[in-house]
Amino acid sequence: MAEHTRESAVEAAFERVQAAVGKVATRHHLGPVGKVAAARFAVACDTPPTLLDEDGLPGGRVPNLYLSSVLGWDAGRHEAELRLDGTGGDVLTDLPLTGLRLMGVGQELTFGRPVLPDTDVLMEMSIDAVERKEGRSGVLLLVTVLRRLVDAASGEELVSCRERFVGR
Amino acid sequence: MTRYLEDVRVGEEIPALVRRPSRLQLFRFSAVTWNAHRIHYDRDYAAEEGYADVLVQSHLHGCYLMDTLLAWAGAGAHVVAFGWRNAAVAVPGDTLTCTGRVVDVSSEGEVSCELEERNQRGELCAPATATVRLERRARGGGADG
Repeated sequence: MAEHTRESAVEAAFERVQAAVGKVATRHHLGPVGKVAAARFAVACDTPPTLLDEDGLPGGRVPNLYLSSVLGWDAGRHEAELRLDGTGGDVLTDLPLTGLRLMGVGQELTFGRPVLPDTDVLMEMSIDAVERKEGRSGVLLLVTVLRRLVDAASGEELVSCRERFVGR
Repeated sequence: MTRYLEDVRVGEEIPALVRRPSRLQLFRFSAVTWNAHRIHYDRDYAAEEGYADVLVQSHLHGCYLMDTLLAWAGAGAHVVAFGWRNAAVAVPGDTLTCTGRVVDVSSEGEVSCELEERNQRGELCAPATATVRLERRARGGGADG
């Protein structure tokens, strides 16, 4: 993509994203958190075995970063429907970020009570902030996405996650 | 292992956790998090993007740092807040060393820590902060580790 075309696309995305700041964009019912899926996450992280109980969970809980690391909670899309970089159909799809190439650059999380397996979880997502920056390779956006994960039964907040993405 | 509040001091070092991510680990982490981005498993795609190899996921850096914290605090410690920032990329074969230290202990039982992950060249890959709530030792009780 020519540089001026890319920059135009980023500028257009900035206007679109800025208009969405603060508005709850999506609500998803994730369903009960599976014990095996959470234990697989711990294994994939190479979490020290000394931290894991007989179910493969740290302290009998869902790993702290599990809910904010999983990018898809449904069946997803067929390969032909994915973007060239392999993404699409994930939790970010419903946000107005189309056309941006996103790279995660960190999270800020607060935790409520520990999450136990089988907890039924709802997730709300919104754009928390957007900034336009001049990077080494031209203009880019810093987009902060807010995810709130709550207990579906009680409404109690389990995790609040502000995740920053660089969008090019 | 349980770490009790009374045993923690400001300035205390959090022992290092060393991780050497492999392509296999990156594949499994992508699978379990339903992250299909090619940058984490397709070397040709990563090369097109200007990288020497596939990249360690942002979230996996966070997990290494969280595990460093819990290996010190105990699996049952209640993490109240946690955050990290990806400052430099890492690729399979890198040696990532996570360390930390206690920077504050509140009278309410919350312990604030700073952590960081550096590669084998000493470059900062991911700084982090954490606040963890530790149990007080039961009166008349003893430590178990």
